[in-house]
Amino acid sequence: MLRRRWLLTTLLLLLPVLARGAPEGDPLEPKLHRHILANGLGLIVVPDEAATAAAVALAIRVGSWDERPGQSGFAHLFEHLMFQGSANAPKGEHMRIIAAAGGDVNAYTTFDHTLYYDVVPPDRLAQALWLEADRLRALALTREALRNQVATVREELRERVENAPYVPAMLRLQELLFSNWANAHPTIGNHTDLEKATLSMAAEFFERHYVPTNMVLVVAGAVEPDRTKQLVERYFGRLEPVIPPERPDTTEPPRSEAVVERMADPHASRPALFMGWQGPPRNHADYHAMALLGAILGGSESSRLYRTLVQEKQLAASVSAGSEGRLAPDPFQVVALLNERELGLARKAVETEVVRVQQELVADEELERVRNSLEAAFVFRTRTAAGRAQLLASLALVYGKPTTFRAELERYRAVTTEDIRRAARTYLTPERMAVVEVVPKEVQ
Amino acid sequence: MRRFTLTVLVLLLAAACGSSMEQRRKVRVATGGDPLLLPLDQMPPPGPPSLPAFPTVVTETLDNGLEVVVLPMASSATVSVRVIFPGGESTETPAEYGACTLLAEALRMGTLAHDERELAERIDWLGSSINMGCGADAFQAEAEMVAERTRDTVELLAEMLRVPSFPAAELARGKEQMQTWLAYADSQSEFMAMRRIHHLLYGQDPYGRYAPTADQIRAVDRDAIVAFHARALRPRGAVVVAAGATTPEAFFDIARLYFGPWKDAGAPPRAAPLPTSARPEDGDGETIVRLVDRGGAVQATVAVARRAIPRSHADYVALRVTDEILGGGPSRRLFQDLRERRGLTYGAGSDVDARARGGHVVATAEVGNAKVGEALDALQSEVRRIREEPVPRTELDEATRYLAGALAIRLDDPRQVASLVARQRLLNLPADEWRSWAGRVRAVSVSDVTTMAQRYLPTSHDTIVVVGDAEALHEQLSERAKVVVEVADPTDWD
Repeated sequence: MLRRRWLLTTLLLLLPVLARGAPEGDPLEPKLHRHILANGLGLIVVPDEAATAAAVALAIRVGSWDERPGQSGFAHLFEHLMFQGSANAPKGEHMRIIAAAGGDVNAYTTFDHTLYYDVVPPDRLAQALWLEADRLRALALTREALRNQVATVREELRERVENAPYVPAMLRLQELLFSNWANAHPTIGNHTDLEKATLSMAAEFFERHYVPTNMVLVVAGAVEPDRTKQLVERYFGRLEPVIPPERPDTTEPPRSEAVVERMADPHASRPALFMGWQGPPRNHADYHAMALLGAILGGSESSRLYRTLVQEKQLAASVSAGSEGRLAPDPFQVVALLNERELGLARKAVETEVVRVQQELVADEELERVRNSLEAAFVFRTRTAAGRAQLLASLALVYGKPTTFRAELERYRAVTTEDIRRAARTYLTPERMAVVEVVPKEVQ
Repeated sequence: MRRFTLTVLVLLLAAACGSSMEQRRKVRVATGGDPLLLPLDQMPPPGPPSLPAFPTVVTETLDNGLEVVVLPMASSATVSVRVIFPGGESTETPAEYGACTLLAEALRMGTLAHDERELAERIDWLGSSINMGCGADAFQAEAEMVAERTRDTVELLAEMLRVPSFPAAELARGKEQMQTWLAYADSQSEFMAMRRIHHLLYGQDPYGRYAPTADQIRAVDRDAIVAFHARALRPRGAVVVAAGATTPEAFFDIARLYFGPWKDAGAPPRAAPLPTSARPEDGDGETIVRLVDRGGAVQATVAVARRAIPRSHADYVALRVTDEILGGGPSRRLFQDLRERRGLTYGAGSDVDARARGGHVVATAEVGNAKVGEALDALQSEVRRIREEPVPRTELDEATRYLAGALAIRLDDPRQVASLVARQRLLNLPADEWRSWAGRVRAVSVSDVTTMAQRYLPTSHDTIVVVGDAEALHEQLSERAKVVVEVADPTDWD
């Protein structure tokens, strides 16, 4: 019922907000019960007696960055294939069983990881773990299922990209920002490459990436740690220990100048601005400074770009800024949905704010405001078992080991105003920048 | 190596057997025993069920008529607050269309104590979120806060609701912003489909306006927004719901302090009853597809809809169960057929939109151009099936277990709890609506589902809208129905 804004939020980058439940003690420091199975699978159990659900999050360090040219979209397609049946759970059963329990099951694929999750009543935890383990032990794929999911993903590509305003521009920005194909191509892939998918490719992808040493399992909520550990050992312990795959090469060659392109969009009715810079990877020492810089520039209605572009100059209806959070050169992006104004004015206004933050230290009060928002966002996101499980799994992949929400928040709190200025000077430079200006259809 | 060989063998075996095998097979579930001792090819049985209780509800009504409802959840670290003012767009006069939507923006633009920037900075400094919105039946404010910021956030929220300043320059800017957002929304296929569906189902009634048009936004002036605020946002008849890390005593104190001084302006206006049918030509026996042209689109939104019932209707629970079976999620019929079997769409589903004064059922899918006709056939075939064939008992049980269980696992989330109670209050549902929900859902029978399907699910004679490239779609749709091509401009539909 609440319809506040139709923003470009689906195109935008969110701060890595941490969510936190409400156990006793510091809510940002829940007790983590950690265990590593003999086959290398990492397990984290986060009990919460007040929770009404049990949540399972299985994060695998595989994403579009692992794809080879000609196979774009395969990691995401494979995520779909993981729901097409396993040795003891035929197609559709995993979803049917979880739904019949009143639970939720889904997954997503990003640039550098894929995450599968189940949220169930506590009495169904064993079933959820069994189902997750069964498909890791052996998938049961058919050519028909592959054909069906290729068709499904191609419809998803049409829905999310080709039939949507501005999304092609967002994807084009990545192509302009990055020279390395691993960084530049879209996770959703393209029709040609998707059509080339075969069962043998699926088997090889599964064998290479879906190995216990390449994943972390988090179980949170109304769960008992010792019992959970026993169940995980029972169901996942038989997975073969396999050396994890090598990380792909994501290095970017040096750049000498900004790249600017104007793009006509048949579905857009207003101009839009997409500006990006190559930022540091998620696990780089400068990442947190960049994330806070994004919040200061365009994280909310009190941010600098909102004040300038929306309120003062009235060039835009909305604007946002931030990092995506890749474990590779990471796009730092500014996205603005513009009123009917000249595109160049908006870009100039953004560049002026970038120069300002490079030259002047941000005010202490401004930094404190952003930090407060961030800490609260951590609390909000992790107040459910599902939020906690998914965020802990993602963080474990980032750092290669479990980390608490408090520890992650302290990394943000350690950032100084000097760090922010230095990050702006280092990364928001013209030679690291790419721009896509979107022209609406009636102007073409 | 062993694992690779096993995987390949499973693939080859499954390929050799074809697809029919997995469509009939189900997981083998052990009937009992310790999961740690069962064979791995059997799924363990469920454990003893837990039955979380709905949080306790404590209510107080202030002298000015504002009802305050508190649901303490001691284990939470946050508080969720909802403020509901019944009416919303349903009480806009024709000259005011768009005023309610603009009011939601206007309340962020300044108060008698803070200007726009100060409000935004204050909200961020608190780490809270405050959002306002106008819907078909109510104006609503939603606020999220960490426990320690409850008093400060509610103070700010009350200030924004009670004493906005309606600054002229900011309002003018906000109107242009809104027009840009609407242009963006209208450029999306699904949004345009919903606009047209609502217009066809409800005509000139406020429910027929899925969102304001740019013209309506332009026509609204400051006086209209101020007048709407004075008429629609008043304490009597409104409800404040707080769930999470607070106590009744503490929150009632806060509510009295910041909402108590709000002058009682009497009861808010009530919306007129919903006309029984807005479009007499619907349902006259001919299948009509309204093809809203979105030239150049590679995919179309297919939507079929029919008027149904308000939320308070005695049939609602049974209809909700029926709709769940048809298109509630990935395990249900529309998704399984249109996507998992036929590969026509990324997602297909249905929804019961049951509101205060009336409602409808709508089924949708986003489909590539070449398959729109087939998708429409498949969608209608599934509706026909559930109308004509009794659903298997197991399928009904799975749907009711989902609906009962989905509520239970969300009861530790203050946002969900606050939203549930806000909705219950807005729609004048019984006090035990959520406590009795599971039992009422489980009581729905196979014959109830058939009855609801026949009574409320859309048939080929109901409202069908396709938003897509008219040139690419006209022929395949003409083979199935009379096609009326329309422009994607709401001002042209009347």
